[in-house]
Amino acid sequence: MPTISGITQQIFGRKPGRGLLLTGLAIILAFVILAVLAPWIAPYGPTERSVPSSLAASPQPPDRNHIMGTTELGYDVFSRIVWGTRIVLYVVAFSAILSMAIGVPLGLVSGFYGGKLDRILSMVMDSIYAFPGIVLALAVASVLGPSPTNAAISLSVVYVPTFFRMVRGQVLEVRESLYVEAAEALGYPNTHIMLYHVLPNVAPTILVVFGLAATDAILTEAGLAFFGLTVSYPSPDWGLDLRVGLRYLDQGAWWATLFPGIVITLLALGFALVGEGLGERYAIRTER
Amino acid sequence: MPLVHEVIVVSVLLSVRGLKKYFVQGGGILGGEKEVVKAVDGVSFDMKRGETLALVGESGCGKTTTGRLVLRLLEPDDGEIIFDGVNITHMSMKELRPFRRRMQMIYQDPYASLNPRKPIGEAIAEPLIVHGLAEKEEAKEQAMKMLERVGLTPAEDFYDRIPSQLSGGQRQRVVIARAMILKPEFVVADEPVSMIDVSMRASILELLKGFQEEYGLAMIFITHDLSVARLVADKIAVMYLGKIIEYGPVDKVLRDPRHPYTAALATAAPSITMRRRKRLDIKGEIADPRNLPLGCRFHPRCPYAKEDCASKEPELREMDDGRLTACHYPLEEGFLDHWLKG
Repeated sequence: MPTISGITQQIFGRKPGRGLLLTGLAIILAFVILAVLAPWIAPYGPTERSVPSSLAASPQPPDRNHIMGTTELGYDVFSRIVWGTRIVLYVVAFSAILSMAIGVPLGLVSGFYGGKLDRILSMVMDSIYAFPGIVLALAVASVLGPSPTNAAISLSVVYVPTFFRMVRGQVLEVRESLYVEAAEALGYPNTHIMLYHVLPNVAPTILVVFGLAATDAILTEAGLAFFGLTVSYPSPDWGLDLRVGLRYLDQGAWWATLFPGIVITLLALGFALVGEGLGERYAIRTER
Repeated sequence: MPLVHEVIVVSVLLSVRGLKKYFVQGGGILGGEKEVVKAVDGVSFDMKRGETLALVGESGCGKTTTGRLVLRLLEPDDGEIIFDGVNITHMSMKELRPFRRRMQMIYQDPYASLNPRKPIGEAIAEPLIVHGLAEKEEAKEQAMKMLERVGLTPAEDFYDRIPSQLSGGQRQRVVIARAMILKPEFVVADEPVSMIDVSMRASILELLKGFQEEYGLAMIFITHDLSVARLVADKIAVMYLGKIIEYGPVDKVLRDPRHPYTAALATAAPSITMRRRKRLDIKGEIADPRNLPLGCRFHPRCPYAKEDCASKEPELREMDDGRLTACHYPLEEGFLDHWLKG
């Protein structure tokens, strides 16, 4: 049984990858706080015209009231980033959890039992894996139609094979280990062996893949948002703001693209650090 | 608990007949010759309750494979395994489960045979719970007792440790405890002390013997160390390239071998106490199991091979003292003593 102190020990203990892990978790935590406390942190609503109408219709550079400037419609860039965190985190968490919930059991069963089922599943997963992630996500999202939930589902399609492949590979290795044969010799049923002897030894890999998938999902989500496949303007989403801001870049309005770009990169970095930190701790090699 | 437990049931617990296991190598998509390794090639023996049979031989002779076949951890290609009167050779994994409880395995490598993420107390209690013999609380209690019994005291200190916090000897005690908590009737111990510090070996062997006496346990003890075999076993089966070439009471076979290979093994072991006088040298290396010699498998290395040894394969046959030897020209009675003096 993992205890609270055991878990804190896992995260904060002086073990390999501690610095990476802590930095990553701090970044993610900061964004979670932004999302949860958005109404109190953001000075304006996401679609609130926050400048006098005389100044509207052209983006305003950062000043005391608008630390990241405003957009052409007078929206406060900082407030939109804060509110946008909600959509981004929702889509990313939803897709990473959904793809884990599908990919892990399939990889576990496929690797453990082998045989025909394994061959068929591997073939299907490999063919999905062969597509570039962003292209596949765009295609699925266009079919499903624009909405945050649909975006999350289309991202899951991309990451299910990642979980499947990594888990299956690990299971193949663990299945050959002596302690699994020992469990068989003790007369344990297969499902018991799979859940209590194989799965716990695959768990660190799952965490690492979760970090990697989430990292990639942030960038791909931004791509989907860029093409208007998550929310529709003027709802706030970092990727979408990036594209709208692009129109005013040649007028010198750098703030409308730079800041959304920075937060996308920063959140991706947070998840990447967690993934790397876990990988270092458990000495897991990952193929990308 | 009855004080007197003197009803001696002399019965055959395990009977193995003509057991074979061939491994096929190569012959993939890219072609290449298919090669067949005859790991176990017609092994037969009987075991009584409470009896210990030492399986000895060089590495690659098929002793471990035999042990795993008997427990149905490997599928035999031919032959039969009769356990307590029931043929278990072709049982499905599900049908086999009640038998698994009665037969256990102790592995050579105590580092690899324990789940690295499972606290050892839970690992010992688990068989009781999975087989429905005890509820969680009671299983824990029994596991605690078992920890004490195998010398991991105080048990409360050890219960929640994971294997990496234990030494090799301690881990092997856990493996033994886990196997013995089900009170099996039969156990295969595959070189249980060969990876343990020499200083710990005797106490681990003592522990095994203790359980054996308590449970009336029949044991196949796989080893390449003849002195250990002599210490623990009643009977010995010497294997060479997948076959038993000599079988009988351990003292008789090792003191007075009738098969030249047994004689060579018996004189090959280095000894500190006795100044080792002579070694009956055998030529060359163990033959390639993919390409077995015709006739007697041992003939290319045998110092006493005659012409027909290369054409006719010897069967195990009973010698005048009751042991079984597979040799066309078995050594004279008392050969080894005589040879060592001469």
